Amino acid sequence: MRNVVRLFTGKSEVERELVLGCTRNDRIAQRDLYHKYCDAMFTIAYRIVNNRDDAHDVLQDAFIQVFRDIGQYRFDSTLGAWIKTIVVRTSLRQLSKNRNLAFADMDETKSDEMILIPDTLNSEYLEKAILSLPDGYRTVFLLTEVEGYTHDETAKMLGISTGTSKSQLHHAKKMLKTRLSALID
Amino acid sequence: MDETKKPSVNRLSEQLPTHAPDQGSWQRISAKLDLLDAESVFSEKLANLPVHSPDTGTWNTILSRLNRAAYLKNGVRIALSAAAGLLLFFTISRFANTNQSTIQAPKLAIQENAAITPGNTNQNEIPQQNQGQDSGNQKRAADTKVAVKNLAAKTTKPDFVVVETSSILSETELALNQNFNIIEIDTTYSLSQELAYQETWLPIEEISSMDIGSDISVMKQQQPVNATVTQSVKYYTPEDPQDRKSNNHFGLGMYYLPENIDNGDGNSVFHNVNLTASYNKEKVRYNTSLGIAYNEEQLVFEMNYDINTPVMGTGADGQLDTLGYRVDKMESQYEGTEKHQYFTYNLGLGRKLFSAGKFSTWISAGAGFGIRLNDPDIIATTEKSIKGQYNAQITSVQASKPEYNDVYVNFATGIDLNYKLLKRLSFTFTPTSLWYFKPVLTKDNQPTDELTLGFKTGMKFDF
Repeated sequence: MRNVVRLFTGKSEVERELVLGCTRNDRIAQRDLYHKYCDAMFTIAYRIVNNRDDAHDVLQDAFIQVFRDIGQYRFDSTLGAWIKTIVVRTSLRQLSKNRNLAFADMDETKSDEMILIPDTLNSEYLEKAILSLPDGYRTVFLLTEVEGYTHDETAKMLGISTGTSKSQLHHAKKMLKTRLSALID
Repeated sequence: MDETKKPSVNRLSEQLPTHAPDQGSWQRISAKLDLLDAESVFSEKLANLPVHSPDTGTWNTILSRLNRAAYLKNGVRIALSAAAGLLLFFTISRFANTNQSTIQAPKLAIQENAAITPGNTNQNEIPQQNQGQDSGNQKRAADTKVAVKNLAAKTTKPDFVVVETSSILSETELALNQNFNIIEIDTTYSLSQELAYQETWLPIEEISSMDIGSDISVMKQQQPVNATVTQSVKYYTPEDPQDRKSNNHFGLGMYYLPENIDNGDGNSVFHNVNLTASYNKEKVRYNTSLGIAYNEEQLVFEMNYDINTPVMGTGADGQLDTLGYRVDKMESQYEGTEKHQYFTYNLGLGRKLFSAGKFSTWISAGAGFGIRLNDPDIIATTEKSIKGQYNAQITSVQASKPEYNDVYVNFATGIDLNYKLLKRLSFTFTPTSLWYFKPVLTKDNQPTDELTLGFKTGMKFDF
């Protein structure tokens, strides 16, 4: 029923056409889909793997998988969210391949660390500070705070417990706060 | 409200004690408000993190990979279809042969086991249409001797029938050839081995028991046996001693073909290794092969790059900071090897030119294609490594290398020189010429080589 409603909404109709085109292996539809999402997906990949070349590799692998598996997309979530899941998983695989992505099982801590940021702080500085975090902290922070995944979803994607995800976020915020403080001071 | 009561309420409220919050109360509220504001600012900042764009060539790389995957998928489909077709063809051919033998075998089995002597032939086993002819043949072929060989099983499936006469085939025997299956015996081999053909007949008396394997039954009879042996059993004649049906068989071979391809700067040796299945008839054979072709390209290239080293110092605020970068200009020469691999598929046919003893010569022709399996690029890998290791900027790369195409298509011709090492095993040497419709290598959009020559060697096993 929800799909029928979407058919009559302009944006989703275009999206549906794109998906159907990609299912038919139509190169123009594939190119349009790529250009629609490439920036957002490259940004996610770049922040997770923290390297432009690796992010390009991730983007290629992820879109190849998207075009291969597009027939499995059932319109039960937004197309962007579906592609994002593939990009995140591909990025995590790439990160594990290049480095030993380890998550220390720390004591579960409430992730209520608050970070004070002045309005004048440039977003590029904030991104640099996030990218300077260790891989484990950065990944959990990005997935939960930036991409909006829940701790359960993050833990599932990373193969860790929910408690570990929460503690990693707490320590990530703590470290980020220290780094931003140094930057602000 | 009752006005009379008002003064007492006022008095009561005045009488009750008043309470003041603690000294730090506003600070705590203020701090909480600050935290909420900070959280809001933080979320807003995170939502506005900069967006990054991939390089412009990324879509082309994805497109190339999609096309290659499609080529590979189609190639595998074609190869599997062709292999399935050939398998079906072999199966039907073999089934047809087996079916014929099964129908005819019992008649021979009776002949073999009955130890037929003149006059005691079981007429019930003789087909009706031959009975009239039998009485005539009985007189004319009184001295005909028949040996039956059963290699597969003594009671069921005779392998061939030998008809021998003590003299040159007369009119009588020629008449018998209509119904008999006649074979010559090679005196150089015992009967337990595969028969080879020889021009002379061996009288049956000269077949000693030593020559005959334990799995062979020989019997003599002075009975015209054309009634019990039919044409469907392997058919031989002295004039054309060829077993046409027995020559139809399946073969499997492993071959290696080194091939020199001009890559624009020199020669690049492509190693073709393939597994070939063939269906062999008397003078024709059909081949299909799957394999791998690969080469190892030696590359020398120069790369110039700048290494940026941060110069640290204490700023005005006393914090350690990057003051600038020192740039070291580097010029390096690199050597490396790229291994390019292709999946190959070929279809072809051959025609026998001549044979002499264990040696035979065939002319063969076919077409095939190759699909690239990998895309090694040591220049890109080196660039990436230098960038990652030294935080360097690549300024220029000088390299001369051809472009390896995703797909190539060729037409091959060759002369197969076969030598039979064992009964079923042959060695093959084939000078081969390959003409590329779509070349393996191009340089500046021009094919580097369209015609190549190689020498294929291999071993073939005949089933």
